[in-house]
Amino acid sequence: MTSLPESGFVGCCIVILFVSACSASSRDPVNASQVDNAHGFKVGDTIAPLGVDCLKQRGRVLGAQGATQLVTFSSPGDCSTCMLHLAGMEKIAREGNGPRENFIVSWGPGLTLSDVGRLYSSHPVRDVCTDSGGKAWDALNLEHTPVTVLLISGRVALMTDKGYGSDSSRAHFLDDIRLIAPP
Amino acid sequence: MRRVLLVYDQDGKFLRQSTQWGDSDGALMSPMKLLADHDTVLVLDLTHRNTVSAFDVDGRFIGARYPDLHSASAYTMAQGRVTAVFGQLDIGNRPGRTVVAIRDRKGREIGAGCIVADSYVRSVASHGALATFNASFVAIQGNRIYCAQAITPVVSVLDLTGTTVDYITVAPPFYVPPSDIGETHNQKALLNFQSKWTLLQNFAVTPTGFVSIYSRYDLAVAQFTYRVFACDLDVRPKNCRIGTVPGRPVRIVSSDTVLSVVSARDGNVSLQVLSLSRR
Repeated sequence: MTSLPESGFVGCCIVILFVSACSASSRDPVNASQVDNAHGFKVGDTIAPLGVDCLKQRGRVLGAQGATQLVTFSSPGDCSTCMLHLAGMEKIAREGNGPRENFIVSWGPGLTLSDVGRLYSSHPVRDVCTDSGGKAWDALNLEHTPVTVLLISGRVALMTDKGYGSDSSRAHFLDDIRLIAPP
Repeated sequence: MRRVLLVYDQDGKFLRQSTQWGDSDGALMSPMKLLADHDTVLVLDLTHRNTVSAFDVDGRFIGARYPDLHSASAYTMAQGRVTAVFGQLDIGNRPGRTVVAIRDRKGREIGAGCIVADSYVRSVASHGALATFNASFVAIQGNRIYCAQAITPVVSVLDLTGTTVDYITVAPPFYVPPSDIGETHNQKALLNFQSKWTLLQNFAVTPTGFVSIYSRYDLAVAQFTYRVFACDLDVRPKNCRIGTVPGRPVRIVSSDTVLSVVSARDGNVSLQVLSLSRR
């Protein structure tokens, strides 16, 4: 009479191990920190909900509870080689892939919403927002931009500053996002 | 990124890859600067064992030197009798606060020069942000070494022993001298800092003088602006010119010409040339 729970427990373990083995054979585990530069924060850090002013969507909240957001932090001082990262993220948005909430947050001394319209004119698909006062920069102690984060209820679940110029690199990145935050 | 030496002919046709990635002799780990003259290619590799590797024009490894470089030092390389000039900001180790060591082809030091600005020294002592900038710009033209620093408009001209032979103290009219803040990597603090002074961004020598590019975060337009200060040193009085670079400068082509990348409103990016007319 006492054997049923035990066998049930063993069967459960076998199923779990099998699924795990199948996942491992299809691809490597997700590296949630895909960065070449130091950015001042790390995966697991959180940002409290913060209202940002955006070119397209009113009332957008960075780090909103319950939301999955792909957010690129950028500043007017971003290096020329870093433009590859912004271009790759724009291409992901243009291809219609990735989280629905996919936008840029920019801050610089004196930067206004009309300034970002001019500075980010080459990124027409993603919404561009300003963080007046640089509150996100303070919260995350941002050191170097651009950097893109996958935020789940304000928690940094993935961060990257890679280029994503190739189709395969973008596909791999989107696979990572799906594994961390299934649609 | 492939950290290898690739050899092309004059028509741009690929000939061969001559090195591998690695830390053995002839391999490259983190190549930072390449200099080619008629029979030698020198590659500066800044790794745990800083290396200057020499290759022939076909990419065959000739030999390597391991100069005593500060890991965070600025650097450049020169042609002719002097093969390597390295800006060393490790001022504590050098009486007189010299920042440039001049070495011969065998790596022996044959001279030193270029005095660090007082503001840099004060910043080092107080752990200020000025000292965190890579504050030495060194270049060579013929038998003259040119030394500039990001925190002062002064350009000193040295001979190959490090003796100062000329000294340019004229600041461009747009230059705003820095006041220091505490050392930080915080981008917000640094951007605010860079809106308050003019930073030397790029420096190059030409057959007739030098070209400096200064940057400043311009609060009026909320972006970095770049301005050029070019001086001819072969005429008396010295002839200097200024100009504004459209977009972001990528290369100083000559004493009169700067190439820059400009983003247009339609999202297109173009290369533009700034010409500085002589008076």
